[in-house]
Amino acid sequence: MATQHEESALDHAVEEDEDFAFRLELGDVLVGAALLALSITFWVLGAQIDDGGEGSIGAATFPRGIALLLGIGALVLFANGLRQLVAGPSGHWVTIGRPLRVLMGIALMLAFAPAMRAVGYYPTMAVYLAATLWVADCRRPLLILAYVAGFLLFSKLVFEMLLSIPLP
Amino acid sequence: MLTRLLRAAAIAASLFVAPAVAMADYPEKPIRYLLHVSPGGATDVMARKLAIAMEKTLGVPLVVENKPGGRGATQLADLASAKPDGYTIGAVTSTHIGAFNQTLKQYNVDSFDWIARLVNEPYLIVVNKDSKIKSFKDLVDAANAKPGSVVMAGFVRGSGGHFAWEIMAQSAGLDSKKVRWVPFDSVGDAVTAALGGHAEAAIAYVDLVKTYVDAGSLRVIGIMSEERARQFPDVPTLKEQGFDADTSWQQMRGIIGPKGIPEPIKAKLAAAVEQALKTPELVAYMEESSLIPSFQPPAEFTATAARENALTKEWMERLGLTR
Amino acid sequence: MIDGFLAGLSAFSSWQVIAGLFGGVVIGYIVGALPGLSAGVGMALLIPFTFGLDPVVSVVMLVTLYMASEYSGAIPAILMNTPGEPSSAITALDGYPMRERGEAGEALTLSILSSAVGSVISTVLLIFSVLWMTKIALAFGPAEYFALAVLGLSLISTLAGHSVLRGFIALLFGLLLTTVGTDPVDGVMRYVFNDGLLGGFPFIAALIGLFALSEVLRMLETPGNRTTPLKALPGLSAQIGLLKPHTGNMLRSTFIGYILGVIPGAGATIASITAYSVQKRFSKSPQTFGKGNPEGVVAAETANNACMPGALAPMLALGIPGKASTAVLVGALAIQGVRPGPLIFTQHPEIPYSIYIALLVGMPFMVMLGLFGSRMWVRLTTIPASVVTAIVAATCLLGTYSESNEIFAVGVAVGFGIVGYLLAKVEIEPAPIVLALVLGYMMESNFRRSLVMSGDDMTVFLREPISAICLGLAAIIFVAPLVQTLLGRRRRRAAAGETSVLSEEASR
Repeated sequence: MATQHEESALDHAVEEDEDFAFRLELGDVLVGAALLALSITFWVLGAQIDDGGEGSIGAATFPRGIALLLGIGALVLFANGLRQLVAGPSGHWVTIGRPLRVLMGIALMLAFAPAMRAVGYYPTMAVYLAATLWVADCRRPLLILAYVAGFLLFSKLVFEMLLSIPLP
Repeated sequence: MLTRLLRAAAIAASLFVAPAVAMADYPEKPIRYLLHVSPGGATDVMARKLAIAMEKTLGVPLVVENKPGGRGATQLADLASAKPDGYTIGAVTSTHIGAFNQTLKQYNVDSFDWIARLVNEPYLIVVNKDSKIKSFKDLVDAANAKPGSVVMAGFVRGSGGHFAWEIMAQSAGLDSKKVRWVPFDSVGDAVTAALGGHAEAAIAYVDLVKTYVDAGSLRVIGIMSEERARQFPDVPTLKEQGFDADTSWQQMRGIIGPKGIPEPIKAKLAAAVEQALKTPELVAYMEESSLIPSFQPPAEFTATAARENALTKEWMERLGLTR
Repeated sequence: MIDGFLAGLSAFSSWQVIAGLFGGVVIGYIVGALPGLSAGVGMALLIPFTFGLDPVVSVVMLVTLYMASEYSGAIPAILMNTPGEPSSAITALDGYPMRERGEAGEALTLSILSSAVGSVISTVLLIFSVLWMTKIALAFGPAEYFALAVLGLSLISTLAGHSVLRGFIALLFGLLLTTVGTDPVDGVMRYVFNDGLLGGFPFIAALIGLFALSEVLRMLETPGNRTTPLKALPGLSAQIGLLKPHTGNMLRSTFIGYILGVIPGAGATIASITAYSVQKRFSKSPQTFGKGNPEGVVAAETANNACMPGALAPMLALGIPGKASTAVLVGALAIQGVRPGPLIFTQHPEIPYSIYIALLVGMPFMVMLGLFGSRMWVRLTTIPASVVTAIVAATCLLGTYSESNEIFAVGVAVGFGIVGYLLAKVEIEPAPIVLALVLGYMMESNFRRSLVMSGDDMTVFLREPISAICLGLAAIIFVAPLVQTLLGRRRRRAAAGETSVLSEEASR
């Protein structure tokens, strides 16, 4: 790591990236709330599903029933978490190592599909792979270039030529 | 493999070349033929055989591309956004017309150009070999005697097979209380349910049930067509059994393209289809798969599609599926 | 039967058939190892090339491709937590933790050998019971499928890990997602915000997201220059000896795989999950399942490879394509003018028998490739994590696209990757989500179909014997561990005194 300190300011910030930790119960509260919101959405939108008319069990019964159960489960998770958060430390922690890199990894993944739609497969993959290699700590430009070239060649040979899957 | 690659490369290259509007020269590059099904199924096999035969007449390759997903949504999205220059065409079946009225309401029959009809398949009813039902009349009697005792298996509600059954039922004075329609994931699954005795009867096509009928595990009790099927010479048509069901309602396969293809190009494509359907390979294939050759040129095919669409709408409303 | 074998053997005297066999194994190996490209997709891609081939050559090539890809899905599952085939997601549950301990070589060896055992025994079962199996395949109607799905879902009690609540949340989350798409019975749309969702969430994309992409994010958490220490593999005979302690496990898993293969619509993923859960019940150390217990790898791999010959039974004897891959086989045969079905054994005996021979002859070749591979692929673990992370991510995105040729699927995989990563942080594991994604549709559609058939009569599920048995078993499987936990809790509480355990247990 020491040899790379001169590279750039951003790089510097990334190197200093420290673990991000919070209590598991806080995570429970957040995930519980998100899942509760999801089940409420499915419940509410489920009312708009055209329910066939014939028979007692229609197209909306299952999704709404499951949404209800998931809502209850999420509520329990949420409430339990909140109760213990207030009650005091429990010793359960969630740790996210190097959160900046994880965030960058997520951002790159999210950008992949729209970019592929806009500029096609090969340029998107070249940029994505190079950037992900960089985020994952592979910092030697020649090495990155070699891996990218190798992967694109692999896509061409195996996918387009051997399996004849057209890549946009 | 190499030729496929070259074709793909040719298509890729052609996308960048400005289209010369020289209809007389059509076609001068490969034609994309988009399917709504995965490779390997009956529709796929037929399309590939057709593509090979049409290639001989047109002098350019037809590149079959499988675009399955969303009951035709993926294929139609690609097709609708393509240039109407005759270099992108797609497979169409009766199921598409059903979808226009149900799940894919962003399209209708007028969203596409109807280039040529290829084949038709009449619907028929099969029962398990152990069933007491020997004829369509037996089925009607059983349903009248004990409403709900007979269920009819088939594809999803609102599919061509569902309407075919409703047309048959109407001719016999049956309603959905007397015989319930049970939707399966595919017509094949419905036939399997009849094979296993889980459903008394199923709506299917000749091709799908032939091997089971030959092996004696299923029995055909009636076919909805003008004439008996060549494969089942002993099975009377519904008309022969005294039920006047609309025999023009059949599962159809054809070719469509994006809206606005110039008439001469459509005519050229249709002529190539007509020729292809006469080649020995396709004649043999259609014979073997019990498909009825039913070529129609653009004008007639457009009319057929409109008529089928009107009928579909009418049935959707009658069955309360339009909401 | 002797005549059939002779007909099949004579077909194998032609060099094209032998070439097809090896070609099928090699292509299957590649297709299976690539995430996103499942056996069915690989076979479908090969279909256009089989046009000009002899029927026996094309069927031998496709069947060996199918066989090899069912195995090779385990390789990326073990090495990179990236299931190459849907069913190998279960292999990854214990295979990947083994690799993290440096036991990649052992895990790969176990996976290839147990695959071979499962496949060979199952093929022999197929040869002798193919016609009899048709009864089982046809016995399953809507009510039975519903009950089978419920039985499968009851396995949640073994997959859930230590927290029942979190297991249930994962299961319900997965079930809720399976309701998205065109409704199976009425054909109406449910929660379709995008045309890509008309057929529901693409399953393989979701799976790749949940396992592989979320693992990519986890790998970014630690420095990229680290490599995993690798324990040396013993010599070849000792390598084979690794299998010895797993005899009972393999026999049970083979049987489970074969039967679930026979039932159309069940399939390798369900077979793997079932065998894994059953083995966990039988195991002396169930608490280490999911943390790198070799028994888990053996159970999952034996079952998913035993499933494949099972799936051929209804395909050959009834012409019923129970799964995507056998549907492609039916199509390939149809192109050649051969119709699988009750008459195939008299009209085209060379087809089923050349399939049997291909499975039996192809397997040793595959084992050789696999054992050699278990020494070679493990080198991948010596590559720095940074490179592995990026290459896995890239392969998954590429594979997801090529499964359906749709960019939308790539977006789905990424979405599931992020959600899976976040949920795992609060100990909501992907395995129950996968269970739900596999079984949710089967449960709902068959439940409603049964009610349409019976005229809204709920007792139908108890009147059909197979359905009643499955539901009864499900109830036992579901309730037993809960009772066990409660009893255990009471005993522990009695022993340990009071409150210190209480707060701990309330949260888990």
